[in-house]
Amino acid sequence: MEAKMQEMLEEKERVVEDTGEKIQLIVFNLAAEEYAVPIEQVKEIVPTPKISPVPQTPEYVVGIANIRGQVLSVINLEKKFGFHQETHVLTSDKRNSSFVLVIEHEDTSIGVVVNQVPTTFAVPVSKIDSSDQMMQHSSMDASVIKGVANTQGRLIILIDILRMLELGEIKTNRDS
Amino acid sequence: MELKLTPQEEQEILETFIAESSDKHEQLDTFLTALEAEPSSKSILHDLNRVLHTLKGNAMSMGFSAIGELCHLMEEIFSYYKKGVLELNKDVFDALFKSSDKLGELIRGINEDKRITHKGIKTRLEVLIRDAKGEELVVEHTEPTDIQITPEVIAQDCEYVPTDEELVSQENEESQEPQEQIVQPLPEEPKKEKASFFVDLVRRLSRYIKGLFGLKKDHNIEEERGHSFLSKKEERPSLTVDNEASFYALFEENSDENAPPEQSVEEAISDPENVLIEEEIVVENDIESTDLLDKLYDKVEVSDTVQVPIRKLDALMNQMGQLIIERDRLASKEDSRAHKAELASLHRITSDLQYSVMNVRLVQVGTLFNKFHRVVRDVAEVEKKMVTLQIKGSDVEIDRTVLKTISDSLIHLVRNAIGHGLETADVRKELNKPVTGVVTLNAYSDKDHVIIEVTDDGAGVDPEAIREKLISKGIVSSQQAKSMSDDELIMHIFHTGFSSANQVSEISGRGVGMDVVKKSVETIGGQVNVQTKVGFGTTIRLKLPASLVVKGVLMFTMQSQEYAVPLAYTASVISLTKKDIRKAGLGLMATFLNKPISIVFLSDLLRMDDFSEIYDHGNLHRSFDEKSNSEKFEVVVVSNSGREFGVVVDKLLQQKEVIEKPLPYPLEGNVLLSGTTILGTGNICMILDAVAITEMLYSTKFKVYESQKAS
Repeated sequence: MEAKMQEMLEEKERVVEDTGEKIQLIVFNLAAEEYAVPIEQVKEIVPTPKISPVPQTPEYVVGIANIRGQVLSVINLEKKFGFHQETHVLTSDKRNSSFVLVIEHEDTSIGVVVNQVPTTFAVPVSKIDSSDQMMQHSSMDASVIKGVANTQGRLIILIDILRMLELGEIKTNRDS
Repeated sequence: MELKLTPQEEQEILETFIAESSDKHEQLDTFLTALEAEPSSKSILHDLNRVLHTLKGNAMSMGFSAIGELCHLMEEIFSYYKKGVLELNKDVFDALFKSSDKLGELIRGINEDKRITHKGIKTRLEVLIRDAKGEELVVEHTEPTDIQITPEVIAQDCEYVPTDEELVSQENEESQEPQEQIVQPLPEEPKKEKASFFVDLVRRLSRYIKGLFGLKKDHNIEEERGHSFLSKKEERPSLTVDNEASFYALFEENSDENAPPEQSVEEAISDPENVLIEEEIVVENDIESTDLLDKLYDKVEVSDTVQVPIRKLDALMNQMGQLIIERDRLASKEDSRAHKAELASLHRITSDLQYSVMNVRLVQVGTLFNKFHRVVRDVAEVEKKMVTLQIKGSDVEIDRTVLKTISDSLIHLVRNAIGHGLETADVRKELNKPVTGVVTLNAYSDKDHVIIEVTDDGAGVDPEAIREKLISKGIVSSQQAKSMSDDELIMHIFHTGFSSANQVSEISGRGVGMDVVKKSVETIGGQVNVQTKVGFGTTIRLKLPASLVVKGVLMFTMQSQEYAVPLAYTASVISLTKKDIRKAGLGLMATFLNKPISIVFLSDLLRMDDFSEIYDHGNLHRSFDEKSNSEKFEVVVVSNSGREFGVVVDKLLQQKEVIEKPLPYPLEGNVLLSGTTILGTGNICMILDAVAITEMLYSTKFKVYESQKAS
């Protein structure tokens, strides 16, 4: 999977003719917007496996799934960010159309469910506006949003899921 | 032949050293306690000297001079005792036990990067030795004065090899202080000179031996440490010098201008006093140096046992778990029938392997029990009670992790047994009991469990005292307290914040409480029970899993999701109809074996966002209300520490041995589940935390009572 992604990226890079430093992103849709994470944070992308809902957890934790022999939590960022539009119910018939990004950070891994095939995109660093210049998103910690890539007519919001993990943004304890 | 160690190898050597030393330290405690009981025993004294000697040798070769020093001083005390100039009175034993404690601290401190000073106890031992020595001089009058000086001269003249600074400073508080540096000769303190003399001697000996192998002369300390360790330190005495000429050459080798006169060297060596009771360093004149070489080969014999760090065993256990999951996955595939024979043999082999892995992790409970001779002695001393410790079932085997988890709990239980359980000698006399109380540690196997019991023949726990305490502390109302059975009352000793002791004593009132004991036993899937009879004593029984590799569970489904509850907490499975169940306060009740038990529909718990919702009236009745009158329910009776309740599930599946994995981030804090396991189908099965559900149901029990009252 990773090798394939690398291939795709290289291809992409040949297309985008912009000199200067670039960062490689995995782009996915949340609600109507495009979001992205740096490719280094993504361990793999898998078609959504069977997800077992876990009782007594916050709504944005879809459940736990067996991903290559490892039990991981799968979260739904649309719910986490509080987008109140109708989210995709992950029933078995819809499962095939969604994917899970496996984010890995040191010993911690977590799955993020996305609705369509994520794509790769290389964006020059010069095209990224850092977050402090942009309007603060209503329900996200500013430090979770690293910036906005504004290129080729697309507006891609860069989020830092590792930062979310570090901040303990993703929690279960309602009782705490 | 360059002997370079990688940091990892060094770490492993250090780990082995720590493991061996802890072992030796444990033996030291046991023997000390035994000697105190029987001071005239030659064999115990011999054992003690042997243990101290090995420990000292190991420590010295690793550069942990503080440990070596203490061992040496203890050895010296015993040597004076042997000579009859020092009496092993209570004071001396006290000092020896304190030294032993300090040794333990020093050994543990190696890994914990803690600075530990041993100066206080060292001085105390030295004073004892000095006193004994003074006496000895009076008695013997024979010690020539020049011998006192000789080792000092040698030590000063000989090349000083610095110890590994890092290690020294790790274990010693003030490594720059002369007291802490064994290799620096201190003319005022004869013992020190001897020690440094000895260390230098050993260094030069080892260098000499390396020379025989053609090792580089200007070896670094790391090399030396590794070498001497690898060749097994017990063999430090093996550095026996068999040839006079080569032996003297050692002294000449590195000494510069002021080489000591040969005469005094000879004296220094031949006088047992100066060679630091290292009787093993024998100068044998009549053996040729070729024999020395031959003997060296004997010394590198490889041991028949392997010490394995526990993390390696943990890794092995994890891999074993994955293998079993993979096996089950293969077996549940559709075309598995075609390969039935192959699968059967795979099944057999993996099962055997699994038991082998489990077996490797087992240790005898005696390894833990034996430490309690010392614990009992100390507690008895503080509590001013007379106690004997009985140990039964030392050879029962149990998973090492289980034993480690409960070791603190066991200490607490023994403290409690002596502190709160046993009466004082006067009281016992009045009661016509033997003056000396008995605390028993007992272990036995019971199917897949190991039972460990701590029994005392003391006063027992009085339920009435607990009842009063509960009321006075405001934990329950007096009316509720009256309705409680004795067993229920006694279970409250595990209640957080409950202490039945009237006063907090030095030992019992500190550290872990009974609630912590219960929790730590439950973390590994065990249970605690109490049996007590006023006037006759108390038994605390820990029911522990013998192995942690696999967990037996009872599987069932809820809304087509697989769940499981550990068999360790499953009492039985019953079938109830709706009319068997009645509402009682917030919850539901039914009768099981003529006893009323709480019933809870798991679907009600799964539906809740968190446990606090059970306090809302009706939340535990919802599923019950939805069911029709004719419906039958499958109920798993969960039993934990004498508390039982029924869990209504959708559909029971089968029993299964699984490898439980913790819940993934960020769900670790989930109170309803203790972990997950992957089934052969690839599906995830969630394992219910029976303990947490028990706690929850029983903590609300008071609320149930209250609402019953209100209605």
